[in-house]
Amino acid sequence: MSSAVSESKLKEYYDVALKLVLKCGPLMQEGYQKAKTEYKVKADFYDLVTVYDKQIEDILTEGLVAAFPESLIIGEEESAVSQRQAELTDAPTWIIDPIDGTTNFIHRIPHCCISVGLAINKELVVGIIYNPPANELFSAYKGHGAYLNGEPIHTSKVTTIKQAVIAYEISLIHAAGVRDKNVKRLYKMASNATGTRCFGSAALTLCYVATGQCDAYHVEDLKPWDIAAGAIILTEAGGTVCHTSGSKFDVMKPDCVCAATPELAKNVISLIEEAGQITEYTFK
Amino acid sequence: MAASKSQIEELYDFIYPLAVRAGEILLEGYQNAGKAVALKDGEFYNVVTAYDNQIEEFLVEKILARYPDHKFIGEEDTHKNDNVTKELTDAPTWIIDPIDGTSNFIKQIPHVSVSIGLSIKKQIVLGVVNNPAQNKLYTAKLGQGAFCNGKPIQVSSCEHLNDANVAYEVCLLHAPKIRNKHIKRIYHVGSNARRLLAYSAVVDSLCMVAAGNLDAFHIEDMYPWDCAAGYLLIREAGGVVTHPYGGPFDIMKPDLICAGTETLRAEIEHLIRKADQEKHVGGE
Repeated sequence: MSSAVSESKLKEYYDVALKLVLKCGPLMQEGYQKAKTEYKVKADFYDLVTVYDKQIEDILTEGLVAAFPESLIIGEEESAVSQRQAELTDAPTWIIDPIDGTTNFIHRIPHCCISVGLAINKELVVGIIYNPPANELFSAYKGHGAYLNGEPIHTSKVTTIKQAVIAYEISLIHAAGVRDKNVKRLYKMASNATGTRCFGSAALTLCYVATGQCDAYHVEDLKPWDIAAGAIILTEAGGTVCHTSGSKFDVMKPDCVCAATPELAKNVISLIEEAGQITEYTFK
Repeated sequence: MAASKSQIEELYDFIYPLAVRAGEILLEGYQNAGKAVALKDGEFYNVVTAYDNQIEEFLVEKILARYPDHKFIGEEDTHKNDNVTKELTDAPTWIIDPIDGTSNFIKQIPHVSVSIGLSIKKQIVLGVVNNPAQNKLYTAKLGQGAFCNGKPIQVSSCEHLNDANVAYEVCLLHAPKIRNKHIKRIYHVGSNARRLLAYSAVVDSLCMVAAGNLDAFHIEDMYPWDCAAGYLLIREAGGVVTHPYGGPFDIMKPDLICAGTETLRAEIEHLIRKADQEKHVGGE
């Protein structure tokens, strides 16, 4: 590493980010309670989300840049506004999703969260994910373990797909361009796993693997801010995060297999390869 | 003649505190399950069975003490009857699932419920569902609306699948005999729904439709105790529940589509019919 971050600096990044995320809790909860009750026209739902997304992102980015002027921001709202594909440099870079699980937020399903990750020298070092409706605060920084509301969390010890409860973003079937891939993979994985879930929030699903509530998760075609914070939380909880091919995870193109154990990750990768061999599939 | 309003009221006042207590027992088990990380696979199910039995026995004992002539239909009850589900008669019959979402119970995923439905003259007149992990107690009396924690709940007004949050029991792909049927349906419903979610909790999914958190849910190959209480909650919340091909819902063979609106339900029925005509996914 060209300039290693010191322990105390890392702790400072973590502490400041944690305070800012907690500060956004009441605002997010306000939006969550308001959703669906006071808005009757569909377009208004999404306008509502945009308002809270923006307000939360502003609090986070203003607070972080004020505390750490040298740092950069990669975020969903920022990317939407600038229409510019973000690049990750060696500079400390906050990777932010102000509301992950927006459909859950609108429908008042308690799987939605604020997600803040930090990468330094292109390596993830801090992750904070806060789900106010369920009172879940997940946090981690490199080398110091992962926590849920201050208590240590650890992945399960599951090593085979037959024992595993897996999570899968089934909603990706909605997108024609990735439909066939996802139907085949879901078919293979759900056929072999003991259970399959879909919660509608990638960030929280990574946390549920970190806590051992799920054992594995595979997803592709999402954005860095969907995955960044959850990936460091999961690895600090003892889990494994790699690219779908089994190679090194790349947060800027976060196609990944996440698992409680390396053995389970290999099982999942094998099934994905098998899914790719399905030829008798005739749906169109 | 159907049950009288005063009879329903009396039975509701009787069962409500029992549903509260049953939820407390469930929550105790749910919180303890996580401490059993070292248990071998078989032992998890011993833990679930113990709580399943404890809750069912608690409810049955209390009911029989007050109403000795009432009947029961439930998972544990069926198990004790050599796995033959009793016929539904005109007698007051409690249709009970002591723990719905047993896999979630083991994993501490907060989609778990005690479900209590009451049928009189083959008509569901009471539905009470307690999800203590989310602190939600759902109640409905025939003709008197649906409530969550005492507040009225209402289904969503969503009319188009392209806008809809839909749940599906994806775990059914684990069962070889019905795998092809379900992957085809998942393909077609998932291709058109904005979100397809999976909680492995039939009762909770029905309640989420009643509360408008989900716009629709389709389930097949389940049991009366999974659907009795949830069915009434949805109807009393203003939603529709039919057989997957549009005919009347039958509690003893509770294959269903439920939705906030008839328009949305009909669209899902159309896709299920279409899926059932398709060739299956290859192999296996």
